[in-house]
Amino acid sequence: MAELRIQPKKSSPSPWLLVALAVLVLAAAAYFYLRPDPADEPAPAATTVASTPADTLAPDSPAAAARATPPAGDSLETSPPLGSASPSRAELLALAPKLTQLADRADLRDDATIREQRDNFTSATARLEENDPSASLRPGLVAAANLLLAVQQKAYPNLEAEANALTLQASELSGRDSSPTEQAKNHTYLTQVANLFNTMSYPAKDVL
Amino acid sequence: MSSPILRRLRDLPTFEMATGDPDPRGWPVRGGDGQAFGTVTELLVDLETRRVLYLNVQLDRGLPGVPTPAPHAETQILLPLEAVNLDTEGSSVFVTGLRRDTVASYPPFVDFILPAEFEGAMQRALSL
Repeated sequence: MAELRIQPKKSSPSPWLLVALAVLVLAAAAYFYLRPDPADEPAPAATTVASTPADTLAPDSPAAAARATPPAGDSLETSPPLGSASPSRAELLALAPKLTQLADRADLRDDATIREQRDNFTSATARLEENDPSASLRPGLVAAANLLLAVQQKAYPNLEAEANALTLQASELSGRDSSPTEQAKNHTYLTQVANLFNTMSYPAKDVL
Repeated sequence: MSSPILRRLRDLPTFEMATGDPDPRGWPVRGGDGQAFGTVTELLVDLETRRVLYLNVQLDRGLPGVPTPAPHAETQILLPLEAVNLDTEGSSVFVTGLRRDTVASYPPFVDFILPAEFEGAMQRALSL
């Protein structure tokens, strides 16, 4: 004799709940796969300084003043040749590849000002590398500050004060590296360059 | 003992076959000679005891002695579960008390009504 029984149905989750969960999962996946890369984000609005031509500086800026009145002795004729033993020269040359790498970063390399400042910097450091007897340290030091200023204007609006201070500091350097005082001054300046470079090594959105 | 209140299983959306018990709906019904003469279309259950009491079987057309039903109508019978054997491997229902040629004498299930004498008539036809 056969026997068949029935039982109350077990509660199963609503199909709409499953659909909602599937939609949520798809939305999350789409967000992670399709979100814009930080490098693709539009650059922050350029400051007034950034809008000036690459080869000029704001008329009242400290950098412009420094350029207009170069320190005494800053000429090819009067600059003493740097010995290859100059510690500041070595320090600057050590920084050179890092700074050019920064300028070549995907989100910076397309900026015309940065490209020009990068070229100025590599030109100045190349002369130092070749032990050119007439090469002065000052163009490299100033070019480093200008490159960082261009990078700041392109992507790090929060670092304006630091970049401008560095430019001012560069304009006050003599370019010589013979006396302990000059070496200390150059070293302090290059330390500031390294610090600012380190800060700019982080993505712009992480720099407050 | 009062008669159970029968319900179609399809009218109980919150109930289903118990786990492990087969659902014979759609299975062919075969007589004592092994010949199929109908198909299980519904189960009538007693909700109080939660048991299936009857199989609602739709008879095939053209069975000997069975009047041809009206268009869009089917001839149906009820089989008490105690009178059948379930072949779960072959998905068939066997009822030894009936055959294709004797099913015409079995009381048809005309409407969803079980008169008091209907159960006795079924049992007599099945020799239970």
